[in-house]
Amino acid sequence: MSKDIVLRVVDIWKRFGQVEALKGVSLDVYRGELLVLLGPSGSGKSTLLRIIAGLEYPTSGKIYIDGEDITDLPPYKRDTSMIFQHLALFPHMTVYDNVAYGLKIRGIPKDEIDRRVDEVLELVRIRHLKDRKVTQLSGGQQQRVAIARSLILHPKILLLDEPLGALDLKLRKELHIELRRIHQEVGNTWIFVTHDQEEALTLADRIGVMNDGKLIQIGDKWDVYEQPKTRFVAEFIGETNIFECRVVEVYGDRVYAEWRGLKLGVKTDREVKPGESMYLSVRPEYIGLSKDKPSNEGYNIFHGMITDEVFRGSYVMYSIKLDNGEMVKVTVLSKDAEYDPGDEIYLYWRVDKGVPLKE
Amino acid sequence: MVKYDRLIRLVLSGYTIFTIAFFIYLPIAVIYIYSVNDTPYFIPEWRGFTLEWFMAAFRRRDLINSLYNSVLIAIFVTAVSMAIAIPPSFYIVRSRGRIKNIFLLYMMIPFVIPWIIIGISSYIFYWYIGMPKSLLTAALSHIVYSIPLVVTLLAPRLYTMDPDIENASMDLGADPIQTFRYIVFPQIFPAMLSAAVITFAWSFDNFIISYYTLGDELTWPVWVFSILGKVPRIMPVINAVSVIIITVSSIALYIVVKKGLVRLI
Repeated sequence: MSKDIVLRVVDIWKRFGQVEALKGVSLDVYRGELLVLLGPSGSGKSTLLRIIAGLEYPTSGKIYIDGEDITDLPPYKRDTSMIFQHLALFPHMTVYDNVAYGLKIRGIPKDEIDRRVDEVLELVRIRHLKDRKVTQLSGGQQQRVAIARSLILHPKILLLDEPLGALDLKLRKELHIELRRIHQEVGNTWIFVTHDQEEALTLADRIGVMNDGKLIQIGDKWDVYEQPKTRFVAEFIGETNIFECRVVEVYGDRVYAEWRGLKLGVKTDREVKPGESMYLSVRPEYIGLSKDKPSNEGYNIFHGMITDEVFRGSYVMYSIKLDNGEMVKVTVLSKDAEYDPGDEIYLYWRVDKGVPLKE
Repeated sequence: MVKYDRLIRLVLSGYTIFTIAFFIYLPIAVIYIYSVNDTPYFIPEWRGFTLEWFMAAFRRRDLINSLYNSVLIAIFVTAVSMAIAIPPSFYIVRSRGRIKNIFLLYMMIPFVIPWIIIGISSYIFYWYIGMPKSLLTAALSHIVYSIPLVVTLLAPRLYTMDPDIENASMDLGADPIQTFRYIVFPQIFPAMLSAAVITFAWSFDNFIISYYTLGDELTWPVWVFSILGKVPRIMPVINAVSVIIITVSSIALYIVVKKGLVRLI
């Protein structure tokens, strides 16, 4: 993918009364990518999206599209289009009238409107519903109308504000696949806001994690998952174990830390000094289990007892009490899950799979 | 409880029917009967069918004129108060928490002030600013007090409208005026029509404010009040006009409800 920047968000602050919704967010969005902004409710992600759309005005900061400052442009003069959380379809209109709306406002001739409506309804596969009233459609069909209504205008940037939140899980998963297909066919830039980490990992090229009005980490979704920078990111995306430990020995990038009486090996690029405290995140799926003591080089190996198992379909999550009394979560694919609560067990993970966190 | 469900329902339905029939429609039925009873007096006796009272009504220029004035004022009041009340309705409904409640409270206050006080204070106000009383002053007072009415009638409908629907329209390229015309107006039209019907009826019906703010030209209720007991054989004429008013407004209401323009619930 070319690193051509289409949208530049520079130091956006937004205050609502006493509440600071955004505290200095800066962000570059690349042309053609699908960026997911992920964060809990109240993290400011929807506000940021609405500021990009022009529906909210920032307290300070600038927004540029293709280098042009659009901070002061009203929404109807911006080359962005938004898919709203509750879709905001026009309830008194048919599918055709909803989708044609933007073109009619622009005074496009009727036969061209008809052609483009057919084209975009074909893209989202609801051409047969053209003459229905939108209130007569199912949730998933309404979704598609909302997408068509925006895409027909060929916006440079499509903004999606948790549009799948109201749908049931199965339909949501279907639409994830559809959205990726449509994104690839259309090829414009999408910014998708969600609080659902699974949705983020499924859809995104890149993920930006937001919390408390700040963009905490942004990057390729693999990097964000595997190399979280903070405890918040590690815990918000996927499951993880957090070990609070203290650095005891440093040999270049290899560090030994003490964790409740156990010695842990850690690999880090960061400069650390003995005595400093450190959080280590280890994903449950990177921890292996074995009845016999493994003798692998470069692994952390501990002994404990299984206290609980939770069957989650394709995998099983074990809770393990280590000899130092600490609990650790470990996931194992169901086909390999041959242990029971009460079993004595060894667990191990490769030293570089433990990620040291800033805080 | 289930055992008594049928009984409770039966009692409730009987009670509802009785209340509506006895308190609302029985008095109205009496008016219908006496409008065609061949006697100028309310005597419990049928003296034969006549259209005399209707003919008499059409012969009275002052009566026809008062009806004309009432309709004129009601149309004017409805149109102007709707136009004035829509923007603040939006503002109030869309404002946050406390502000909304304070505004709605101030909008409700006129409903709990006795109309006679409003009538007298209007009277004093026009005297104070030196404005001669006429149909216009009456209409202005009606407008002032129908604005809270319109806001109260429109607010619940506006409140259920997702502001993002308007945002979506602007996001798709429509400016605020186009958004009002194509998106907001069609959605609030039914609520506007109900508000208009009720405002029209309220203005047409209003006696106390009109009484204190009219000049020489009278509206229908004020004319009725001014003539009762002063002119012989006038009661059955008023009955006849009442019958026409009730019939026409019932048919009008039936049509708007039937066409789905006004939803009762």
